[in-house]
Amino acid sequence: MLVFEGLFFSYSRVDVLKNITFSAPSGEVCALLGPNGCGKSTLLKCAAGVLAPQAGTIRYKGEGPGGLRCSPHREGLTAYMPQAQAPPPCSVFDAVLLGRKRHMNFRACKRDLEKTEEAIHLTSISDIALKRCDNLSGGELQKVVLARSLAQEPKVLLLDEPTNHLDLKNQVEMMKLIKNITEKLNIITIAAIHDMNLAVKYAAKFVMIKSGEIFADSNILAVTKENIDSLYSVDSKIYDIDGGKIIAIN
Amino acid sequence: MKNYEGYVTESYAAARAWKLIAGVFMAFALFCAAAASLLYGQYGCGPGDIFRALVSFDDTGGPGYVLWNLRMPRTLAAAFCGAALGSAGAVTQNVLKNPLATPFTIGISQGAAFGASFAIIFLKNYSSAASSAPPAQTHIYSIAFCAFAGSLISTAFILALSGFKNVGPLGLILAGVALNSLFGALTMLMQYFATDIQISSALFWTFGDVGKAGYGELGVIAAVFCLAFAYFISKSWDYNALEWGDETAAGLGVNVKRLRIVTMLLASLVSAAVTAFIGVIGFIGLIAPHTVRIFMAGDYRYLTAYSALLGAFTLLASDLIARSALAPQVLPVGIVTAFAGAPLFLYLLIKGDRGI
Repeated sequence: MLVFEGLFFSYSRVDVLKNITFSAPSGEVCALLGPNGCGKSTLLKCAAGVLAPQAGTIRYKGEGPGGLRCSPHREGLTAYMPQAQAPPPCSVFDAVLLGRKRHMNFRACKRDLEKTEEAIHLTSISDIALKRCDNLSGGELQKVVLARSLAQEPKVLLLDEPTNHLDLKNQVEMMKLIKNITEKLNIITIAAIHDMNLAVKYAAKFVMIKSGEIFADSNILAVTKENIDSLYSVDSKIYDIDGGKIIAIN
Repeated sequence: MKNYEGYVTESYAAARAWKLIAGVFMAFALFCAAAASLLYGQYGCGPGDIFRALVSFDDTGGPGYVLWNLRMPRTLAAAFCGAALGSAGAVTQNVLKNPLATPFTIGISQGAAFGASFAIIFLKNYSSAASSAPPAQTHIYSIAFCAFAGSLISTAFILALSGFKNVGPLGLILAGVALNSLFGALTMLMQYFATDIQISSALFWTFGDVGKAGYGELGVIAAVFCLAFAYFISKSWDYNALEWGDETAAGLGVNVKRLRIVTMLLASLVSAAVTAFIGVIGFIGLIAPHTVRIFMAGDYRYLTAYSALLGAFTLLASDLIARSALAPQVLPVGIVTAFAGAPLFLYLLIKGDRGI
């Protein structure tokens, strides 16, 4: 379980996160929802140790006995996948191997190579393992970055818009992959997602953020017309089809 | 855990093997260039005499004197300075996220030139006999000291900017442009009030020439280079992580700010040491890393070391050309690298498959 408590963050004088308190359980995908600029990315960066919050704590509790552990990123328990960026001209294998950075001095040992190989197979990118990252398609590249995150052997997976810039097929593939891995490895996954329908289909917990504050925090019951309309300032309609929710915007 | 038999790892290892072979080849090329630099010269003795003087460590007699007092320091200076400029260029381009960044782009060389002009014009460190005559030993050190101080002013300014004001990579390049222009103006101002001999002395100093350094100066350059190079190599994975952006690197546990500051400090220090004792040598910090990048892609486990090898080779080869092109006249190597660098760089720019 990852527990956020009273998190505050501000860039110079602009408050971005105000008193964020929620927890995310293991083994399921937790979707961060909210309009652009609401603080989703900042929250993920705080959890990943990229930014230091001015107040509040982020603590991790594993399975079995043992209390809450502070600053999980410092122990290397978190893996962070930022929004898609232009990749450098390195090979896919090297890009995944980079996930072992905390464990390597200069040479990669046998375990580093094994974990890299495992992550490559988990994300099924073994066909492109020797290609250069700057020659990949957007969908392939996102899988490579996910594989690098998995090579870190994380307990917490932090994903910032993992389906951005992907086509329909790749969006679904990516989310399926994320859900399967989360369940299989029983890790905590927190993903900022813009596509409500993808979120509803693959996530089990929904944390809605509005202007830096928690707006709603629950399971699928949080996904209501009222919440969505207020969160994104739209006029939506929710249909129940085959036992799942479909959100349409008027 | 499932056993995947490691077939991807195996093909990866095979693909990596040729990178190591390329490294061995470059080391061999460097060795050949160094040997040629020791054996070639205008002094009338055959390679056999030089070789005998080399293996017997004998610096008496004609060939021995020429080898140990002229050609050896020259060869070592070219190798160390080339390696220093090449590797410093590679890591500077990484931390400043700018393919055109070298320690020279951010005002180091103009700072050094300003320091040297100051020593020559204000502290009267020049030979009054002839402008191109080598100055006395005390003059060399005081000019080098002032040049070093001048380049450190640039370094300190750049570091203060990135440390206190949190200026980004682009801001650092712009600050370098501003520093270059400031030091250029100050140098010109001093030269305006100087005598003819002082001006030509100052100008002569700026020609980078690997023949300037003696063993003492070489020791300083080698020590600074080894310190910086050890750091650069030990941070190979941090540079690889930084290639993916500051956030990815920070997420992987890299202290991005410290890496950027320490790297810039060390890269500036080696360039300051080289410039202070040798003069201004351009293009090595651009040509060496970019040539390696085209053949090896951007893996810093190889890039830094191979840029050092290729930088050393390029400077040695350039010096051989400088010594033989208009023989018996010996040209300063800085002129050759500038001549060779410009078209070579344009060639890489047009031919290279990655946008530079």
